[in-house]
Amino acid sequence: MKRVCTTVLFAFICVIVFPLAQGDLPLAQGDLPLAQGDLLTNPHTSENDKAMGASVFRTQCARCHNFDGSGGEGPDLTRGEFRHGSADSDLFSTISLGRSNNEMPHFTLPEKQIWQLITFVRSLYRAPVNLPGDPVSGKRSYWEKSNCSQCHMINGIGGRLGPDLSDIGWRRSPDHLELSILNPNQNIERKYWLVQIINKNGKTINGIRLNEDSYSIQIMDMQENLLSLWKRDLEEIKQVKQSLMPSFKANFGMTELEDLVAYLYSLRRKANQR
Amino acid sequence: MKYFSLLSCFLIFTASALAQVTYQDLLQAEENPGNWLTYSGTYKSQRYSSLDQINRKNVNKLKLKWAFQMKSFEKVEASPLVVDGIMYLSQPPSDVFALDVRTGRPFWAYERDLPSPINACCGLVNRGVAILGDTIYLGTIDAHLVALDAKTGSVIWDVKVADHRAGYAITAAPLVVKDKIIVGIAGGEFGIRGFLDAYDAKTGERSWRFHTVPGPGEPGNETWEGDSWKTGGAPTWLTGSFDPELNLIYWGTGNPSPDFNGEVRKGDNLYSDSVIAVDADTGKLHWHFQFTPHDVWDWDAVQIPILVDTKFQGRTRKLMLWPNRNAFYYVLDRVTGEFLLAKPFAKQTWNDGIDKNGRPLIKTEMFPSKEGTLVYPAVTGAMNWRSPSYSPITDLIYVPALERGNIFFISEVEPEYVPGNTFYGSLYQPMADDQGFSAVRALIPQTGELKWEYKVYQGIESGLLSTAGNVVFGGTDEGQFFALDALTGEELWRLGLGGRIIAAPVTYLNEQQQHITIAIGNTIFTFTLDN
Repeated sequence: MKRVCTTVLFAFICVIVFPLAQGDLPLAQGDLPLAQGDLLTNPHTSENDKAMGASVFRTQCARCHNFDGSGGEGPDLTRGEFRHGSADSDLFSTISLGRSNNEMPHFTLPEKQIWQLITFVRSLYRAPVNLPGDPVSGKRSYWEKSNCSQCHMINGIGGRLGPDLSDIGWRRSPDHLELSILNPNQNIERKYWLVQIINKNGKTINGIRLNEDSYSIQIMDMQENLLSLWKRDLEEIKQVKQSLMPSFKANFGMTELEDLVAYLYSLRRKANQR
Repeated sequence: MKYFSLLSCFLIFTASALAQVTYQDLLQAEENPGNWLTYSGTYKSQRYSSLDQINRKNVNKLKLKWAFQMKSFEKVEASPLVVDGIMYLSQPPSDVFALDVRTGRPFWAYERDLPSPINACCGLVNRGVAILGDTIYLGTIDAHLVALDAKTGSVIWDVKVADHRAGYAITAAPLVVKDKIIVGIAGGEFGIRGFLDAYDAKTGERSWRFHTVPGPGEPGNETWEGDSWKTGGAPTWLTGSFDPELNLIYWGTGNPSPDFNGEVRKGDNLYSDSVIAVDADTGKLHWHFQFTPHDVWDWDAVQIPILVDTKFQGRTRKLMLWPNRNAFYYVLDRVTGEFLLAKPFAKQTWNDGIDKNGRPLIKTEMFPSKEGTLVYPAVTGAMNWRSPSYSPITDLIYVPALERGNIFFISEVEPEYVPGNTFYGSLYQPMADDQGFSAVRALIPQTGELKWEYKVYQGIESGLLSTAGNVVFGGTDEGQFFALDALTGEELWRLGLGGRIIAAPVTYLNEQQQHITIAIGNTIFTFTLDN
């Protein structure tokens, strides 16, 4: 399943994220003045560089990281600490090479623009907010009361129909986490939309879509079975922009919600940790 | 001894005759469908073959003959040439193989040692080679034109066309016209000044250059504000066509630079997003037609000019058919450049129609904005550069169409030109909830009306090939290679081969048997009928 997801993800990035100009995808590597691990410092850190970086950020990065850098589909960039390394050279490498294990593509930008972008990204830093919740209580709520693990996995334990949360603290801001608990439909990624399939015998299968082409569709049904179906055998395929997750608005008081957010925000499995 | 000399003469003659491709052969390529001699098959660029051994009745018996796996991980966008049993194939970025068509085994390889770094907007790609005599011609990603011996791959000459460090590159297959090699240039995302070149086939000496962005004092320069012409783009990154009777070469041109931002280059920006008709001997412009004046959506008009002599409004005319990236299908008179027809073949929201001279009535509210403007078609257009196909026996044009919109943004900061760096005015974003779809659309050439369509889930980025067997071949992003009924669009056969298909198929004979070859992913697949 991981492989299928990765393929889908890669296809998704290829199809829609890259700037297409001559018509195709810029799969070529850009200038790479640094080898990974070099500790060069950013030579473009003036106010003007920051403004130029802001412009690049808005057009190239904001779609995933949000206009204020607070994260969305991509990580929150306001923490001053970055998942793939926080040195200038690490950031340069992440932007110019991309990260093969997640949705971060590489960007073929001039070297100067990348440095300006880094200057702007660093300016997004906000002092850490002490979250009001208690992560220990939140953990108890997650595992013992709220049934989250029925659909979500953390470090290999839990269900598979929702996103793996092992490193969700890296990837999402507290606000985003809270919103997703209260209104799961608000910011739902396409790959977690509900898919409803009716076959020629009138039988309905619900699940999430893992992959699809012109002739077949691959899904995980509600019992976590991997199914691959020929479209010619199906009456209808409906993909609904709706999460399989119910809203927990009515289930939590404010304290419990804050505790759960604090727990989720504490989940920071390192990128290279297996 | 005398006998021996005669025999050796005969052998030498046979060997050289095998690979010999004359200008006459290129002129008569249509009558000799056993070989595939130019990027699009013939000078008319119809990507049509009169071979009919493989036809709508038996195409479901196609069988893989061999596969050739490339070493490159770059996208394979090339169409091979096939001459008397030998396939000449480029491997990205700038390598060439000569393969035996019977076995798929290479005779030789030319592997170019490239400088580093090379900035090209859209992958270090190559779309194919050209042949004349015993020489193979290759345009390279570092903007050289190289002549290779067809029997060994040895370099005969290697000339610099432009400076790759300033963003110039060659990705298109050259076109041989008479004793000249016609070469287009890429780099519209790097603020180059585009041109079309002709080189002497024997010496590599440049015969002429036509600048697609006119300089001061030349007609058209007034369509560029200030000095903006200097970095005006209008590259020529796909192979054009040739009409020997008119002695005119037709070539499409790409976007004006900087891309997406028209504020810094006010005016029509000639000859970007146009077709130019130039004299084959002198490179002098005879006429031009601009599809998208002052383009701010990156709708390069480098598509293959399809030359067709057919009836139009009651009389037979020399026509040019042009499904464009801007979502309109155009018909032009290729003698004069007269505009005859424009009709959308996919959803478009950027204009209020086309006037009698072919000029679009552009909606300025569709320009990229700070907030983002949703525009159809997408940046990749309703049809990008992939070859359409025209079949003279069905009298239909087959178009790989894309139904998708994008949100176009404009940058707050004026783009800064630095030679060799990307020169964008802004960017676009996909629509989050609507990824669109693709279809092969068969259009009636005289009206642009839809005859049939074959829809696929995501993308058709392959070129199309039609044949006298009434089959249209093409492929999907998902790696499905398909054969459609040219008359109805019905799917006759398909095979999942797992790689993205962005090349165009070719067909030819070997040992009297029809073959079909296409690159899928990074592998070249060759099919024949299962006898």
